[in-house]
Amino acid sequence: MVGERRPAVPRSSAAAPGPAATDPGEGSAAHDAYAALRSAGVDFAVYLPDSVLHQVAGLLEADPEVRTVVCSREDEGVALAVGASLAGRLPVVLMEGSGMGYCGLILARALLQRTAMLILASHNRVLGERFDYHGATRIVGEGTAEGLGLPRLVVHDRAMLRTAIRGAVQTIQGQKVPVCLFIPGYVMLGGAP
Amino acid sequence: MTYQDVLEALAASRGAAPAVAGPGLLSRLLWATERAHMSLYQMELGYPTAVALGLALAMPGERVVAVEGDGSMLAGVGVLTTVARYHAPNLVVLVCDNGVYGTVGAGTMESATRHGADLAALARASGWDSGKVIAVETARETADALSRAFRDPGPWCIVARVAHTPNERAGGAGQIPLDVVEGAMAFRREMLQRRAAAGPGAGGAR
Repeated sequence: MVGERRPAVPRSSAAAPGPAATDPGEGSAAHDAYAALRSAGVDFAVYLPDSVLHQVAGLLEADPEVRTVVCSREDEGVALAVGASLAGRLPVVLMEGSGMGYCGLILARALLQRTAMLILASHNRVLGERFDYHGATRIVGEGTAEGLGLPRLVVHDRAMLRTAIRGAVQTIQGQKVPVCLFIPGYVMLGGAP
Repeated sequence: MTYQDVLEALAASRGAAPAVAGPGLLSRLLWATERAHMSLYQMELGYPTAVALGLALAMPGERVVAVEGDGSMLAGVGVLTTVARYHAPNLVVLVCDNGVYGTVGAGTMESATRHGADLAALARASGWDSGKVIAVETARETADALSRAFRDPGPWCIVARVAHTPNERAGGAGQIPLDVVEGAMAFRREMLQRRAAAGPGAGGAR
């Protein structure tokens, strides 16, 4: 109805779940990524739903030991992760590669003040990007990370996934910097490029 | 009402609550008022509330305050929807709305709040509890609102209409002696000590 406002609904801070988790199964790349994140100590996850990484986000969302947040834009998500990291949590931010384009300034601040976080971003300059509308997306992610001099890696082979996440977290904890892993769709969802 | 009125009211209510303060004059005035290391100063434009929300969700036992200017709040206004979604009861967002980009140039370039943008209405429209979004125009109203915000569950959004005068620009607000790197490290060290003192589970995953 025109002019009608929804009534305020009492909510708890435990509310606000993200998308329903559809468990892709233990043999999946998403499960590998999730397991690697958890075993490395990640306990705070911020994300904006993305077609490549949504299964990982769903698994994190379903884990009661992980504080998850759906942000409204990726740079806001990185800022949330800055806060979590300052509070002693180990955050991961999951996003489409396009979101990296928003994140330059807040990532620069995180880098400057030695704030640790892991970024998992989909779409990048490796082969296998089929659609023209991902053209800007595939350019901006690595470009932003490269421009800031952030440690970064394209995980071009699923066999690298667990090792890459473990190594990224070691770098984060040792160097206290944001680290970016770019994960192509074919690694997470299967199918050859 | 001046910035000083608002920041003194904040100092009176805040106790040892950590703060994340926006860029420019606001951070310098906050430093001049409190001279404490419980604040993360000069956070980039558009991000103080998001960083404070991350802190609040990660440390549910701590009351956390974002100190925003109107320009910074407008730059990161989408975060109001995220705050409403997660409803962190320990978060206070204090916006000092002077209607200008006061740190830049002559400090007279008007922000959108001088042209009808209403930050309190934006918070309500984003899903905040209307009773916890308060627009204030006097020092007394500000002190009362902040007193409630640091006592009762939130999240709270207090939009304080402040005058912007040349005196405030001069204001005696010198440079903050800690640079952003030193400040962030001191801030983090303090947060880690609090977390350790609070014991296991202080982070409360959900």
